[in-house]
Order: sequence, then structure tokens, then C-alpha cells
Amino acid sequence: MHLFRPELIRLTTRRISWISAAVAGLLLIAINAGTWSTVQHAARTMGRYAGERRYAGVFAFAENAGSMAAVAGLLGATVAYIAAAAYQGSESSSGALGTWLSFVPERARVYAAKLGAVTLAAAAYGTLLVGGSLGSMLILTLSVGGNPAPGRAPLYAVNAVLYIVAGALLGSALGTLLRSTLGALGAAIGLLVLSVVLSILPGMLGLRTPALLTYSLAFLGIGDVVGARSAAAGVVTLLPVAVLVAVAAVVFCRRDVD
Amino acid sequence: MSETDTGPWALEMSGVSKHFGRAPALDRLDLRVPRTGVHGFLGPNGSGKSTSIRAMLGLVRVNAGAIRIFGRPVPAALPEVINRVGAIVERPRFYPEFSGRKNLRLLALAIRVPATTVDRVLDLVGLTGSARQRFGTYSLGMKQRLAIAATLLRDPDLVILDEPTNGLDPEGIRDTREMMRGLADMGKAVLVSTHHLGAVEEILDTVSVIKDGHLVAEGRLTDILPARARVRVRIGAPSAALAALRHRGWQVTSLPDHLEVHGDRPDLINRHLTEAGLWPDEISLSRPSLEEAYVRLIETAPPAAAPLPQRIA
Repeated sequence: MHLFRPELIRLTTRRISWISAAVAGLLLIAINAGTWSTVQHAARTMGRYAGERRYAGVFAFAENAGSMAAVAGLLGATVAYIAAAAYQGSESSSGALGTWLSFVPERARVYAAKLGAVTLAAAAYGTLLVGGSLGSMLILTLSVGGNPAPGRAPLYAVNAVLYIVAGALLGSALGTLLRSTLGALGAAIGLLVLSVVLSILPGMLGLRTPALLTYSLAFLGIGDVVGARSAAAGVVTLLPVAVLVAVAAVVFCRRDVD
Repeated sequence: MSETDTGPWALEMSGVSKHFGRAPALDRLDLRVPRTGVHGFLGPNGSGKSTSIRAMLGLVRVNAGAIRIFGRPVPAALPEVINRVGAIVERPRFYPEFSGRKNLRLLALAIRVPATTVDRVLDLVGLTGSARQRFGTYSLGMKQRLAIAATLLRDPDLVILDEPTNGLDPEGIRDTREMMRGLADMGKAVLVSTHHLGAVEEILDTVSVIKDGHLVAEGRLTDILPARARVRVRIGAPSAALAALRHRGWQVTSLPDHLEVHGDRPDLINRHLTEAGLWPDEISLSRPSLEEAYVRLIETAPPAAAPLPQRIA
């Protein structure tokens, strides 16, 4: 605990952490506001045609929760990645890590504390983001008289939060391995480009095998993967992250610190 | 205190070697730091001082040899003794986006030191007024002071300072020197690695000199310096004086306007000359500074690790 608290304080009070979190939050509010405006307008317009004050069938919570959770998940994962990568990468590039380890030499415990801080902060932020978005959708549904039945919304919500945590852990791992914030951000862009290429490749080759990106998005509820269940999509999404985190842990514990 | 914590050394390095790729940084280095006093760790740039300190703190893994702090092996048992060690390696580095106070508070949380200690050490180094400024805006001198403050958070028994006077003004150098001497007078061991020899010469009790990753000299400062003392003799008959002194076993160098006798006994030299019927016009003792002795030592040091004739007693 004595190692965890300063790590959590450092992560959550860094300017880049709360600025990027605030930007994502404002973006999501804007998206929600746009959705509200569109749905309310549609409900009124269709209601006029139906001779009612509003048309109750225009919006169902279960049908739209997945999309909103996915948007929140993608935005949140991006923010979490940036914040975690900067949190780890800057500590190495500034040299502060050497100072820290000269006072606390138990590297495994130090790294565990960092991972714990990243996981908790990302989970809390993700819950707020996803919960806020879905809560907003639920209120919107009720306001237009739509069907509030949750359907698979809870599953999408959990997956979106896990996605955000995975994004944070991925950023943390790459920040540790590359010892630089810019390096980690560059790696993210590279991974994205690679994922897009690998997603297109099966189709170009006439294969029906979904690629990593497709599974990853299916985990968020975007699109559909033929024959893939949410659990499989989760494994394909989270397993590479877990492997990278493990590799980063080993490197952190064994690498010379200059 | 553990059973092994009874030896005379706060820190020992035995046959330590470290390579970065093919480049050797440390070559069978032996180093011993007494439990009390100020121990100077001297060497030219690139000689391996900072690598040695990083190895002591477990920041780099050595390829061969053993390191012990208060009798405990490093890095295996470093967590057991780290509470007794305060150290800063090379340029002081903290989180630039946080204030000096916040940096120390984060450290204090991690090492379970009360928050009140932070204010005390900030006051000790004269940074209370600047404690709220971001570390990234600090001058080099302020960064050094913050680093020294950090080393004092745990009230350590062994303080390791790598170039602590870099960037400090004369008052800061004096304060740092007094702080190091004060710690040693309280019974602590202070290991100071420095190029700024003039700043620390007067407070050093023992020194280790390193070159190309290996030890070239080690001992009490009073043992190393007198060997380099010279007696300057101006005399009307330099040839006769040269012969007379050499006959008595003195090592003498003839210079254009005087003789230089290796040693620190002008009284004895004067007596030997007068017994030979020679009267010097001027006789004076020249005790070279640590810097001169150090430069001469480095220039004449053997290229590879070799047993030393003189060790700290």
C-alpha cells in the first residue's frame, strides 16, 4: 500500500492524465448531446406523422447501448493509453525512475504498484465514462417513451470498461519497454496501422478469418464476428495485452537503469 | 543489527566488473568505505564512479564480483539495508512536473517516512521558499539541494553523494561541505564522488582513487598527501647540495633555480645540508593540493587492476 498510494497520486495528478481525461469526457458529452438532440427531434417528427406528441418506437435502449458503450470504450481506451504511456515513459526519460529505485529497490513490488495504480485509475475512469454514457442513453430512452429493457447492455458496459483498462495496461507496458512517451505513442500508431492492414488482408486473400482488430471491435460490440463469441473476442483482445504486460514486468525487473 | 553487521566497513566492493556491451566500465574494482567519516571517491570522467554507485544501489547488475553494504550482499539483500542508505546518483532527477515538496512527499510515502520530515529536510537545505515551484524550473543548484534533502529523509547511516557540489555557489558548496562533515561527526559514513576536489579536500578522511574502472590508490588522506610533499631549497651551491642530499638518501630533483626534495621534513634537510657545510638561502615546504596529488596519481597509475601496496588500515 505504501508503494501504491504515491503511484496513484502521481498518475492521477499529472497534467496529461487529467487533461486527456477531461477532453475525452467533453467529447463524449458532446456525442451524447448530439444523440439526445437527434433522437428527440426524430421522436417529435415521427410523432407528428403518427398524430401523437412523440413516437415511442424511435429509440430502444438495448439496440443503442452497444454503440454508445463502444464509443465510450474507444475514447476511454485512447485516453487511458496516452495517460499510462506518458506516466511510465516519462519516468524513464526524465531519469526520475533511477532516483525512485535508489530509494525503493524492490522492483517487482514497484512495478506491481504501478500496474495497480494504472488498473484502478483506468477502471474508475472507464466506469464513469461508460456508466455516464449508458445512463444518459437510458434517460433519453425513458424521455421518448422507448423500451428501457437492458438486453446485452450490461455485457457491453463491462467489456467497454475492460477495454479501457486494457488500453491503459497496453500504454503502461509500451511506455515501460520503450522508456519514452513519444515512443509509446508512435508504437500505438504503428499497431493501429498494422491492425487495419491485418484486418483487410484476409478479405483480400479471400479468407474468412477475422483479424485481431475485428475481434477487438467485436469485443466492444462493434460489428459481428462470424462464429466468435464475446469470450473468444475477449481472449483475443486481452491476451496480447497480458503478454506484453508480463514481458514489460520482466524487463523492468532486470534492466539496467541509467 | 544483524550478525554480519559487525565489520568495520559500511560498504565493500570486491573484484567487481561490469561491461556495457564490449566496453568495460568496471574492471575488478575493489572499494571499501569505513563505517564513519567522509570517504572521497575520486576519478576522471568515465573512470566508472557513477557506474560503481549505480551498482551499489542495484540500478545496474555487475558481471562479476561482490558488493556488500553493512555486511549484507547487494542486490540480493538490498531491501534489508536500504533504510540505512541515502543516495543520489549523478544529476539529480525527479518528476519535473511536480513541485520540490511534492516530489519529496511522494518519496516519503513510498519509504514510509512521516510527512513532517519533508519540511524538516527542505529547511535543512534551504529550499523551503522554493518548495512549491515545479522541479523542472529549478536551477542546477536547487536540484542538487533537493537531491541532498532526499538523501536525508531516512536519517541514513550511509550517505552516497555523486557530485553533490555541481552547480552550487560558494555558499552552497560550503554548506554542503559542512553538512557532510556534520554527518560524519555524528558517526555516519559519507561517500562523496566528486571532481571538485578543492571543495571537499579539507573534509575528507579517506579516499579511493579509480581509473579505467579499477582502484589505483586508497587510504587515509594524510597517508597519500605527504608522500607527494616537496621541500624547496634555494642554495648558492646547488650541485654540492644535490650530491650531499642524495648521499643521505634523499630523492632530489634539480630545477633551474632551486632543488626539489621529495619529503616533508625541511628541518631534517636543513640539518643534513649544514652538516655538509652548506647553508641554504631559502628552504620551504610545499604540500601539493589534493588536486595536484590526484592528477599525478592518475597520470602514473598502471593501466590494469593490480594489488595495491597501501590500503586503508
